[in-house]
Amino acid sequence: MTSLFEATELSAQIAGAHGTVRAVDRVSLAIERGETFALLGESGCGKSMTALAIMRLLPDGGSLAGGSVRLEGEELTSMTEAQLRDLRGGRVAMIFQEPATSLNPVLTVGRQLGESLAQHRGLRGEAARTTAVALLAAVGIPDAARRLDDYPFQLSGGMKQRVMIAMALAGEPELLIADEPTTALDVTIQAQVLDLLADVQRARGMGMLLITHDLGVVARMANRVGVMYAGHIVETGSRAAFFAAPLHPYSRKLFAALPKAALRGQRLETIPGSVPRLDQDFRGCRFADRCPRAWDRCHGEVPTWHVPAQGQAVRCHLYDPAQAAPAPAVLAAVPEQKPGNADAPADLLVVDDLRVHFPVRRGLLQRAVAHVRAVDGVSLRVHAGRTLALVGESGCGKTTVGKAILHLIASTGGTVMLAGEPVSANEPSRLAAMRRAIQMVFQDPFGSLNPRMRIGEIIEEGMLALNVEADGAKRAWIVEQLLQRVGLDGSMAARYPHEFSGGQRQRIAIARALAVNPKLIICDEPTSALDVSVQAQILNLLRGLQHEFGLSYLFITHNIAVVDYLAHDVAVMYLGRIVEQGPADDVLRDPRHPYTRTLLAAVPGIDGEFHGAAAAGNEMPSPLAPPPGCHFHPRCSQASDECRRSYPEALALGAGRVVRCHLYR
Amino acid sequence: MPILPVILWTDLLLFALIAAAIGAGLYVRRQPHLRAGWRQVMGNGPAMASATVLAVFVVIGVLDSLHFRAPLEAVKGKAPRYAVEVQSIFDVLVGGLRQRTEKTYSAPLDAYLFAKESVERPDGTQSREFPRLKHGGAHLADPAREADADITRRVLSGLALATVLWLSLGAIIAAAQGHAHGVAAGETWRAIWRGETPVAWRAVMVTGALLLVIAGPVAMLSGGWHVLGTDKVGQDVLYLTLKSIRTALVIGTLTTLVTLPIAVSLGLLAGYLGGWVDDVIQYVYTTLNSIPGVLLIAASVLMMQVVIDTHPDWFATSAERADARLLALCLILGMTSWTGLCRLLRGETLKLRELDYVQAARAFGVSKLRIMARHILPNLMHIVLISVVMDFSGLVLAEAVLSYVGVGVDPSTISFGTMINTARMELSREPMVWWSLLAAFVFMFLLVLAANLFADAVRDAFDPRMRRIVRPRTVWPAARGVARGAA
Repeated sequence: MTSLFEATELSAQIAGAHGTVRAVDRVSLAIERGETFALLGESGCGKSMTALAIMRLLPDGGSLAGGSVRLEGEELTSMTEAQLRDLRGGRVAMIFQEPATSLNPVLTVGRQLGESLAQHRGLRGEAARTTAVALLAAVGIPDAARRLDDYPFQLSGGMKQRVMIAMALAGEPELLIADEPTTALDVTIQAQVLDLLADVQRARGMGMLLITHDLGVVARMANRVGVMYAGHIVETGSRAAFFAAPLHPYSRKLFAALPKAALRGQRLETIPGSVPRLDQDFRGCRFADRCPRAWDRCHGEVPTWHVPAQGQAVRCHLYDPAQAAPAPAVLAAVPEQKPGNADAPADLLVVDDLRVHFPVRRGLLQRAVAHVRAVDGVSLRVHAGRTLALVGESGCGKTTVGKAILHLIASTGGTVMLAGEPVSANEPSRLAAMRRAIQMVFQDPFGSLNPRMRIGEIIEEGMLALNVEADGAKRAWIVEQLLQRVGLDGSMAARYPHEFSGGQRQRIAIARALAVNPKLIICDEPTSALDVSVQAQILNLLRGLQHEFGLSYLFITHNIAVVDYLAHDVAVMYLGRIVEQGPADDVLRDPRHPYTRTLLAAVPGIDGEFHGAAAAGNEMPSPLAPPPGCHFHPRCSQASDECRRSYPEALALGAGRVVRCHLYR
Repeated sequence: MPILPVILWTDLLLFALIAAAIGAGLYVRRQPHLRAGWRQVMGNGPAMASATVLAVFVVIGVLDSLHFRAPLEAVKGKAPRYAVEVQSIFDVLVGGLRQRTEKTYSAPLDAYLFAKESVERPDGTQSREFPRLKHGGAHLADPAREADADITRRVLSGLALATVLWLSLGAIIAAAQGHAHGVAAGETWRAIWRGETPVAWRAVMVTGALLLVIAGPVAMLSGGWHVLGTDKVGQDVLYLTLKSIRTALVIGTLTTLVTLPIAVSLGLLAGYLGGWVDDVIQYVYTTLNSIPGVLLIAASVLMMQVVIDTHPDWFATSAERADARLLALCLILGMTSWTGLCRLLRGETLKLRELDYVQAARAFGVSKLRIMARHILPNLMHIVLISVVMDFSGLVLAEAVLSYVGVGVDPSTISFGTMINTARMELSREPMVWWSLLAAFVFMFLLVLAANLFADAVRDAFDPRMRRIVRPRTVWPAARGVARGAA
């Protein structure tokens, strides 16, 4: 019997400025009915291009270069465009990464669903509407009949992704291609969407091609795994075998680069270099230049498939039975660094009852009719030389806290004390002193550097504005030192940002912050836009700098694994307030607040087990109208009448732990 | 005898603008992102073709902007005296055209006037007939028989001249390019025709050929004929259209000199500072926008005219007075047309100021002025560039409309608008005088079309929202394996 879906030796190329880019190079994969095949790899490896090549939706200048794609034995590559149009969204459906841009903002949900129903199932009018309601209900949208007339802006991110899934299901597909379906979503929502995908797949017996960079998602969803590198699939295997023993050195490196608590205080493994350009002819293994175990043969001969174990295949010379592989090079032992001094450190930054309210203005006179309480009474302490992680879902006000501390956003109330001195926007000298002491590293490495300035000028700017160093020659020397310290070359100062990769840009942003000798750096999701291996490099760099300069970090993130690896203390934020804080180990091992528990439970682990369904059924309410009483009670399974009435007071649990929950009164 | 150079205000500003353009060119050479954009423009065939046409117009305009007053016959012991009339180098180059005026209308390439007149015969009798022109075809004894032969001869010699000029132009380009890339000139010549050069020289050569094929014969013909006929007072229409080019260029470029500072500074301030500054600036431009443009301009022009008329002592010559009015028109057009660009820049600034690099600069306490100058302005320049190039053609057309309505340039200034204005009456004559309208139309159309095509290419190259499809092409001279220095 033929597989549901089979791609053999599929190749796609795109015309590039320096020649033809072979974005997908002889990729073969097969998917059975009811099976999930996960395509795993870093950005730029050709995962999404593979999906687009299957659908023949390649961008301008792209074309299929060979191979065949079969759906139930039927060849797709020779179909006409008209036949393909019936196929797309019908027998093969696709879900894209960004729910916000995948729906047309000027059409109602019902209209958009109806298009698909009319095209693929010939349903119109009342029949289409009934089916659409059923579909929306099937993807877990409450009050589906009313939602049908909503516009996309009336839905939250998670709802939009559910609508996208409903649209994909409208054509009753046999194969569903999901391209990073949860990357743009919060962990709690991600858990729900993944559950939903698994449910509909089981119910309909669809095949699914899941494209992701997240090992946790793979562990949760996949039956079989394919690891993609530089346009090639380098390893395939069943999930169990893959997670038990990844074979290819690249897969192993990916695992090793994941931050986790067990590695705290140690350097993370990184993959040196970057994904090679795909417009070249490869003479050897594509990974050879970055592989710790590569030898001569790897550079001169393209490896073929080897099957060292049942159900696992790998494209690596190490597994050639005829090859006596050289002994694995002993990795340079990573020196164990002592964790930061544990004795009670001094408070560097004390934030007390910080409030940021944005007025909502309406009417002719623009009177403030309401306030969005983005930050509503947050108190934090950052100790000298230590890291405080501020954790929470998007929209809970984490970033606003960071910006308000730096006076980038005016605060409505509360005090910020820096080393015992209050900081106020009214005193320019104190403000300047604060800006020397506190700096920020932003999330988006592409938006945080001015594309029209040279790297040297970017790093120099702070020194000039804060009068750190008046002498031009000395500044140039400092810039060079800084670039070397963050792992770049001093001569790069004359280049422009567009010549650098995301990881390199983030290093430059760190160097810019370091230029004014700060004591505290506010890191706003500095690694969330980066690949795992690059994230490991940046985390290593941040940790090294902390040891060297005694820096403190306020680390704003939603990535629990990074918190576990890096942070000394944790504060969990929900809807503008801190609900739990304390030492990282205590909070993460023994979470008290129900929200913290939900958050931790939703994180997919790479051990393949899932710690129970996420309890939080709904999404975060709007901070414009927070629920009365405890903000979390609508999502809390343990909520009582007390929770609906009053917001719980802060409760000290000893050892620096504070929780705001009626359960512990 | 020395001449007296006259520098009109518009001349001064035009040359300042050219100097600024050269300065900007040098700046662009050092900015990789701008250089890449311009390189894309230069590799674009239509863009280079229209650039060639524009270059011809600009050369005519610049030659027409070098003004002087010719000396009059010197009287011993007295200070030298100069003619009241201000001429330009261009007038001298086409001297014949300017001086060979007829009595009134004559059709293109005609030897007789367009209207019958009473002529006294040598025998004393009078008759009404079409009199011979003083200059057009005057060298022929019997135009009816000899005209065709004479015109053919002139066209052929014009074509020969065009061929010679075209080949020497090609030789110069090939030699210069070959020298710059270290390739033999012959090889470069072939590369140009295969379209392999990074700059689209083939388009330049083809456009050059077309222009020369027209210009050569016209130049030879204009020695003895009125190629485009004459107007009501007997001026050569070809001369009028060529003189109109300078007016069009001055209006199209100088106006942006006025527009840019206002639009850029107000747009930046409104977008970055926000609050009441934003409110005031928005109020000003919405108010300005809601007044009908022609009314506002007409009122301002009439006011200016009164000021100029009541102060005749300010101007030494009538040319200076006409120039003052031209400059005033540029100022007024500029004052009323900055709102569109300002609104565009405000919106873009609103977007840019939320970007992380601006936040980072604020975190360093960088001053607001410096953030606007170093972080926001450079990232707005592509919009400014695109809108300047696109506004050019609009302004040229606006001048024509305003002069037609009668609130444009001084009636003594030769411009497309004044030509069209007078053509209004000519069209209602019977038989119709069509040539001056057609001449003005064709020249203005060419100028505006070239400017629009060029603007399109500039927008494609600089607008980040334009999707770029990379088309691989064989790159010269690397394709020939003679690239200097390893990649």
